[in-house]
Amino acid sequence: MIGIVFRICFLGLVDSLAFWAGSHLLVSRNWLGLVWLIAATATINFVYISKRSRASKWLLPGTLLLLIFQIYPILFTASAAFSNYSTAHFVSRDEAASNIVLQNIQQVEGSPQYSIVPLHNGNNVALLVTDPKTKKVYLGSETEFTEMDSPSAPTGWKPYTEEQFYADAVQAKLGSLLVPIPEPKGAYLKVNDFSTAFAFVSDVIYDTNSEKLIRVSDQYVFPEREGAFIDEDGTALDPGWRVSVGFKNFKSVITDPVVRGPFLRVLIWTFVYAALTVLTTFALGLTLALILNHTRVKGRKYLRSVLIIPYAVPGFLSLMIWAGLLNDDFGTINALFHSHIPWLTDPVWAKVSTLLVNLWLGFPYMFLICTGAIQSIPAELSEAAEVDGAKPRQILMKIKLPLLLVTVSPLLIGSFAYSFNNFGGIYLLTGGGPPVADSQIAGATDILISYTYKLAMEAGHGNDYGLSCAISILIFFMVAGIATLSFTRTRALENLG
Amino acid sequence: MTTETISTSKAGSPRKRKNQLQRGTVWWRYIVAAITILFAISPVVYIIIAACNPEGTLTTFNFSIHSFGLDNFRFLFGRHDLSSDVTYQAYPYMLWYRNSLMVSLLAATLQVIVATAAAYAFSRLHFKGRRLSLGALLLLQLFPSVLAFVSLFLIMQKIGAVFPFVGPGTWAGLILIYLGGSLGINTYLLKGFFDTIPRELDEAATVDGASANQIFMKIILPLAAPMLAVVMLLAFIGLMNEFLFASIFLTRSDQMTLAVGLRSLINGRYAQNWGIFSAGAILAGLPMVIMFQLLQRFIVEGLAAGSVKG
Repeated sequence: MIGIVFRICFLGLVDSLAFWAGSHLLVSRNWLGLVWLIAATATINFVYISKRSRASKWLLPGTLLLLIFQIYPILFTASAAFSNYSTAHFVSRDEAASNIVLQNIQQVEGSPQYSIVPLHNGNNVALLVTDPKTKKVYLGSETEFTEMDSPSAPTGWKPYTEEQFYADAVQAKLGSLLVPIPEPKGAYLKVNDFSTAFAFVSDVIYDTNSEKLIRVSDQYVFPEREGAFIDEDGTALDPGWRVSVGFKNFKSVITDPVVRGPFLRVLIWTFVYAALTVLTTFALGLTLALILNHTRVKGRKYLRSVLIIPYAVPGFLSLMIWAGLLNDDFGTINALFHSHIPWLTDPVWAKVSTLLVNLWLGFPYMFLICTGAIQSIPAELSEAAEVDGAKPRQILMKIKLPLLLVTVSPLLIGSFAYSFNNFGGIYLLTGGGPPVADSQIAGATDILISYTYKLAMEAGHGNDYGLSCAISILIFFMVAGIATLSFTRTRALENLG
Repeated sequence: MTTETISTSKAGSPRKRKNQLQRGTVWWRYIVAAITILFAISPVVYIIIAACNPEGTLTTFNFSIHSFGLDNFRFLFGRHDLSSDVTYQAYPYMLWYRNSLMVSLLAATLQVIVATAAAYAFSRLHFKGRRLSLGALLLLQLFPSVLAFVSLFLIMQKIGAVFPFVGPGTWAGLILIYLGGSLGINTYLLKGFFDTIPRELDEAATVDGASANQIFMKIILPLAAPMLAVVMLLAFIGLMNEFLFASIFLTRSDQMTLAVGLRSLINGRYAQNWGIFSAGAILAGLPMVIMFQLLQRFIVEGLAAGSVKG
């Protein structure tokens, strides 16, 4: 009984949420979104009402989240990797065309002066326009121009006072407001001051029949190339739109020297960084575990508690602390040792610092898992070997280490894959720097994931989502390949053991 | 790999015999331990000194009773209203702290709830495509959500254009991304654990007329509670550490998490804000370190089962 009540409440909540969300999608004319919303809501209702689909009741929440936030982004990444998606190619073709049209508006020669009253309804702005010829009154907004019965503001709309009108935020809104008017054809009203507006018309029009962008004055039809309109000089007009470019992004990684040079450098360093991080942390962790895991060492529990402190401190804090300690100008380490080592500003030293800091961060983890692995090796094995006359070194090399490797190798592979994409481990310490001459983007310590981050997110060079996604896809193939390969190898190792 | 293979629990009788066997000098072992400990804790000690020295800069490494003071901490607890006083450069540290805790706790809880439900179905219910979806779940782990950060950002931007409350700059959006990100691995971990709970228990309950819901609530959940706590703890720690998505998503100072906020406080301003940063780092790190020490055993078990801390 309680179950049924609960179920009805839950579905009611879901449905009303969906209804509300659907109305938003309807208003913004997002039909694709609406289709998905209806499909998802219908599935939820079906699954929790029907008596048959027992397992899906448990699986549905996870499945939905997985679809939206893991599978869809992967597909999105894959499709973006084959496109020219970037700051300069962000919108659809129609939006790009209308944007270019609006860039080219000029005041209509001899335009009459329209008298206006600027209005707002909380979110939006509009104009109450009086036509200078006919004296008819219209309500004009970004999308509409409708005739009014009375010359007063319609309900819900309030006129701005002159003081409000000159506030920066309002000026920004009204300054960019273009109200389409029927006469002259294709013209817009643009606010001139608090009470007047003029008609503007664009020299460039978008002909919806032929789907061409045309300059009216000389009837120049803009040709198109790779998602952009081209003018006579051959330069692409901004904005362009998103089109598929096939393998261009991948090709440029291989053939374009401007992209290939930094990419190869970053790729090599990514492998070196990930491999050395795993190796050094494992070597130190294992050595410590072997040395301290001795029954006559007293206070092992306390030693362990202290040794894992670097691991217990949140990683982002440690990295920022180290960045401060290694700072060249006023860093503590140089001050302490009266040295002038360019820890983070010299390409080679920056790499050394990166490895050192990641050693500090990672060795306690290896120490913990190695300690655990050593303790889980049955003592009988060593005893038997000792009875047979094996020396301690032989017991270590021939029995303990091989067994230990079998246990920890999957974790080492996991650790390698983690380091391979350890964005924070690089970005919070060096920011990928110091800069290198061959690239404006990729620094000396950048690994692939921080390189893609800079390509896509950092301002100043135009955000290249397409190339960034293409490199993400390449990372995926590399990590997946390594993981598959090493897991088959370790399985072979296990079988040998 | 099972959790037993690497657990650090004290063994019974074999250990005692081993105890008698181990011989040799130990003093050099203490020396190795001492050197490593020095390496491990000197940055931490230094941060404590820097935090307690209000006049301190990055280069001063002196600690006398005269320079001791808690002004750096006071600064963090002080005014955190950015709008009220422009000249006094304050940072909403307490807000960052609250944001971090809220986002991580909420996301970790929801993650465990959703993953538990899915893991239960995979472990106990028979349905078409069970093996196939399990395999797909594993395969998906090869494409971690860090790789899709560009797409996730662009997708959330699109969703945010229609529903601003989950768009960039909102916690809800960030939490949703966190939820999707580690669902697969948690489901897999928990499924493995549910499999170790004897089936005879629920078979007996079925005979007694219990429904799937009842079996889950009355048998599986109580038995799995400790494991759920471990998974949630590791998820929480991982989320407190998360930087990439939080930095893309949260750009307004009062919304930031600790990781993003402290970075904005220190980046490019090492010289001016070092003392304050140190104090903030201690307040942020101390609870985590204490938690780690208290729950060491569980965390090590979780590590062995395949989670990696961020």
